[in-house]
Amino acid sequence: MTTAPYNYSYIFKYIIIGDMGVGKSCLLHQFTEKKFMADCPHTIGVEFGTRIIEVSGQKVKLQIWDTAGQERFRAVTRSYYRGAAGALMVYDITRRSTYNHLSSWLTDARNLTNPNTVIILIGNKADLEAQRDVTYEEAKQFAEENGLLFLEASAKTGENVEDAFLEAAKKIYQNIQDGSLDLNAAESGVQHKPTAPQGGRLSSDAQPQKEGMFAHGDWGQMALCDGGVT
Amino acid sequence: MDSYGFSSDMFSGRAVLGEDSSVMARMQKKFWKTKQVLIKATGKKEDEHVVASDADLDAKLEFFRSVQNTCTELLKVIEKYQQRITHLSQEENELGLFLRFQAEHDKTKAGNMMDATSKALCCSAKQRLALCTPLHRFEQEVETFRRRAIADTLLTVSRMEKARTEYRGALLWMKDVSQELDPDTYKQLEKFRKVQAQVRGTKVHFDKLKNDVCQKVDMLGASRCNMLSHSLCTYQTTLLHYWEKTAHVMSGIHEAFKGYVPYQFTTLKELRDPLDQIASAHSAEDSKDEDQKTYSDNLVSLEDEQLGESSETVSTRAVDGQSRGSDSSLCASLDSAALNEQFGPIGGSSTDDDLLLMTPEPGSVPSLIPTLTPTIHPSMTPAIQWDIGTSYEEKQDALHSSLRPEIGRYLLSEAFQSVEGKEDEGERGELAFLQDLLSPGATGGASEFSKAWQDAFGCFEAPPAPVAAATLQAETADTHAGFLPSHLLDHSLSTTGWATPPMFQAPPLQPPSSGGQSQPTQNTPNSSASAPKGSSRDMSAWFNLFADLDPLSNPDAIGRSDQEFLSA
Repeated sequence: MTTAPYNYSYIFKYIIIGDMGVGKSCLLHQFTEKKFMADCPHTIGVEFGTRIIEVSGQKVKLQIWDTAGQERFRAVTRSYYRGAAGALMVYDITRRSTYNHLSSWLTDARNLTNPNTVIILIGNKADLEAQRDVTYEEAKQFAEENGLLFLEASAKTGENVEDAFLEAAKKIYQNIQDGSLDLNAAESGVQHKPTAPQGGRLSSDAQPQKEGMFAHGDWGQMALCDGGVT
Repeated sequence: MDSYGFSSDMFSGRAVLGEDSSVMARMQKKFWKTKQVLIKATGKKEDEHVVASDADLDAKLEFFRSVQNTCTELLKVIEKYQQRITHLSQEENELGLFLRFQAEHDKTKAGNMMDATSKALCCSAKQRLALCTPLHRFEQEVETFRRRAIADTLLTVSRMEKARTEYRGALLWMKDVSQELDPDTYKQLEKFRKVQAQVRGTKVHFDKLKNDVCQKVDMLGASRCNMLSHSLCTYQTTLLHYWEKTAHVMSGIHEAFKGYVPYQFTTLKELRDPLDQIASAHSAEDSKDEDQKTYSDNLVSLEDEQLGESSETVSTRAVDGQSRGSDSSLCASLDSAALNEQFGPIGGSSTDDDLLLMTPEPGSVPSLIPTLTPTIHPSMTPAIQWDIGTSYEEKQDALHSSLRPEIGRYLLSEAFQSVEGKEDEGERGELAFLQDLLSPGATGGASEFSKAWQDAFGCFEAPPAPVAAATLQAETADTHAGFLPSHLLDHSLSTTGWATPPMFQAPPLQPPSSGGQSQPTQNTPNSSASAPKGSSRDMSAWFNLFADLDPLSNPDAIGRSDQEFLSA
């Protein structure tokens, strides 16, 4: 399937935020590549990943921005929040400090995204149960207090990785359905495109085949919410 | 192709940008780097997160700067220290030689003490110089450290700073590009990739140098500790050794000469005016042969003995005083309390300084006044009239100047002690003068002295400098022992409205070793003429006169020889 049809109806922009080394890039990689990258270099600025999933029968392309967690990139990454439909806030369950910094990340996210942005809290490295430093309960409570979805996942084993992205997508879609998310709003983070064969994009470019990474981005794989095809 | 995805995109991005060395790209890089340089130079507030991420590096840099500064400071301090050691050693040596010289002429026990002390001092001076060697070596080591280690670290630090500027410039660029970034747009993405590559490159470079700097600074600190502990060790041992020896020798002397009745000393701080001198001289004539062996016990006798005792009396007593010798360690301590109680209501001063400075109110010495007033020479009357609008200090001066010869002796003895202890040049001068005054050579009659004195201070205009100097010296002598009589005189003088004429509130004496003898005789040519209100003239001429005098010759003889000079 070299020319995967751009047969998605929506593009959801996701951003992955969190402290350095919690596993954001690994999560993305696991989600898009289904592989665990053991030696992940520090993300410089931002990296991108895409995948098409299916939500409620609709194909949705997820445009995922994996931001750098290092502090020096904070000013840089702040500009990426704009126009995000969903935010994955990741912390490391084996490092308490990453959990403690969540409030500042949350503040940034709330300030820089629109109020409808779906934020989901992810407790990564769930496979390292022996070194757990943050209990499920307290994180759950934190998420509930702040109106966040919450999942504990492991990029290494793949546990809950897809669910994380899917859950967020479902929520976003739900918001679209009940009108709380205005598609025509400038920075809703959702682009609605008709499912057209040529799969045109909103911002026109000369060479459809060479649209950055997304030209090859559709791995022809579509994850369907309801039990999907791989 | 299928799994192009995430990772391959990164590689593609790198591949694309790897060969991107177009003018445009270089321009962009340079632009952002320059922008950062400007930000740094103008001190504009940088992004706090960027700065915060370098917090540990900045801490290390802080430490490095402090090491740099302290090393430079240390070098300066060592330099100064060495100079001072040399000076001190020289002075100590000179003092030792002086004492030895004096000891040769003094056959009494005091002479022995002086001799022993002089040996100790000379020895100590030499040993002190020996301190300079480890100090010098230490200085060399610090200098080497500074030149090599610190300079090298500085080099790395500056390279790191350059890399940091580049890196931060690239970050600025990335921030700018990120403002409008849409990964779906190839052009934008490519731009971003370019920036990303730049940031990555500079970051790697910067991180490496950052590690280098951190390591180097750590090493610098450790090696500095090493160097210091190594070099200071030698110096410390030498210093301790030196002090041990010196203390041992000095305490040996102390032990050897224990048991001698110490003198009660007061230190002359101000000079007495000639009026008091004459008054005391007059009264001193009456009782110049008071007991000479019990000075410390006969402070009361000072009250009876009038001031201005003759030089010969003074000299004999001085000899006795010297023969007594006193424990060098006790010399400096004045038995002011004893003196105080002897003199009763005289001032509440319990310290030497109080006595000297005449802080007690003039009214505190009423008991002494009567004894003094009758002794005031008629020729002093004009002098008394000087006190117009006198200040308290002037009265004190007057009081102080009522020095008695035995007081002079005290002064003399104290001189030896205070020479070691005090650096006051003026005092030294005074004491030296007193020594001359009281030297055994002087055998002039008391009457000659007092007469010469009176003559001298009867007239205050002709050569005001010589007169002033003479007065000063007399005052000096008086003041030294005149705590009590000074009190009395002060009070008496205050009642008479005495004020030290300006010329007698003179600048510190030059080495007046020669001045002493000439004083009494200098006064002779001065006739008691005009009002004592002498204008303050230049005293240098006066002092120069004494420069030529031999301190050990007969003061009377010298004075007479100068008579013609003065009267000329």
